[in-house]
Amino acid sequence: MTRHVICRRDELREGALTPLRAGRMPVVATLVGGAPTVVVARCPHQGADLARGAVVDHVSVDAEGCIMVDPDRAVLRCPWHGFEFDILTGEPVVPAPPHLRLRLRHLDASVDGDDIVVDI
Amino acid sequence: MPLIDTDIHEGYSSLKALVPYLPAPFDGWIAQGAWRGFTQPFCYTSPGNGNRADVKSEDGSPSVSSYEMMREHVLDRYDVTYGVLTGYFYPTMLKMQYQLGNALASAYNDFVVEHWLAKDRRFIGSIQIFARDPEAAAREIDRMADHPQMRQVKLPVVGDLAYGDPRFAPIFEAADRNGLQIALHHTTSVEGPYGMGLTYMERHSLISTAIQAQVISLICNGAFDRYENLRFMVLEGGFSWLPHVMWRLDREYRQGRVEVPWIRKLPSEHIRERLRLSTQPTEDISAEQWVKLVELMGTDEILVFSTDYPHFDFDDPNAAIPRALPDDLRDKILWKNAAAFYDLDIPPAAVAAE
Repeated sequence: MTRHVICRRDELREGALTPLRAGRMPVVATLVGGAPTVVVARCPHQGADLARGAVVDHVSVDAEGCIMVDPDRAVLRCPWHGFEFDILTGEPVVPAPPHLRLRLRHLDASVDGDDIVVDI
Repeated sequence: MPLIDTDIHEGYSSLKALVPYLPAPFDGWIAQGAWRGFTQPFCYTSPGNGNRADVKSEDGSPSVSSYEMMREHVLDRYDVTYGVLTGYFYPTMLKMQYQLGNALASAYNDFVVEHWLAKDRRFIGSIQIFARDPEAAAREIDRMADHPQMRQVKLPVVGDLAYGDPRFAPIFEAADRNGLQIALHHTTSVEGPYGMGLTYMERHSLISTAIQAQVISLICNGAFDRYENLRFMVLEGGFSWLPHVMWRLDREYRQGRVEVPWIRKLPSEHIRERLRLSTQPTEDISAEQWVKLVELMGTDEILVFSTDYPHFDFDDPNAAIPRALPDDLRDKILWKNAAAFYDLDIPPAAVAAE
């Protein structure tokens, strides 16, 4: 395992993606409930650069069928096709077809003083 | 390896970019902002609002106005051999003001020649027309046909025109006498059998039903029989529905040919010979499913690759066409079938590198 300092903690924001590099690997990072979350910056679908993706609240419907959002569940949407991925688990919100592996690849991220570090 | 992208949506910065190419009084109307141009009667739900989110034009272009951006994102990135420009401004969406519609089509063609085709020999162009006025459209086709990069006539699929109707004959005659092909592509005014539906997902899913209806219209009204040299390209209309349409048309032809004796061969034969379908948006099917579909089509010469750049449902050529496909089939999809459709000579070096 190699440890990389990818940014300062104050460079990350809730609800926004920060494009970074872990060594030579492009990654995107955000804060979820104050904790750093770092994923490989390639959409598992067709390889889109996730740096231009969007972090949004998970959308569902209430009992009356009205659209609502859950601020406690963050979803990353691909900048191309808009596929949704749970930002904490990496799993696609809509299950993938059996032959496709559609899951964000998380890196093991932690806070080290003022820095965000990942272990690859 | 060669790569032909059959559907790239070049654009302008705004409608006012056409002013220099418009005659009076239309140039003044557009210049003074009398018309804001086409938009779409729905809200996009993708992160990039209809485009890939990484395609943001500083000038506010609704599509892409920068050749340099297109080169970076598509032409050079994927080493495209030929890219077919299919436009993003379709005057046929106007249901009135025919003289303005004709003028806009001509202006757009002149704009594309100067601002796009001239910049890259890899571009193949589509002649845009105002299809509601077929005689005028034919004159426009004749006017633009001599440009060496113009290889097809673009028929925009709107909500109320089925192009097999004999009233569109002047358009097909003009394409035929000029050695041009025909390409159909939906617009933001396309409708399904009962309209656009109630959600964007519904509207987008219904597009292929409108495209199927266009193919059925062309076959049943004899377009394939009357114009024996014309080839027909359907863009962004899906392809996995084709076996059903082939079987259904053949069955209908067997039982009802007495009504349509101008159809002189099985519809499926016409389709295999001269209808091509672009692959975007692929439907994330497996390589095995691709192979099954091609077997059901009865030929591997129908499918042609496209990206649909800059739109959000863009297909990456390295990801969208499974690498597990048989090599020959993958080559045909990625370039050979399109090269045959447009009678293109692929540079030997490009083939050798394959």
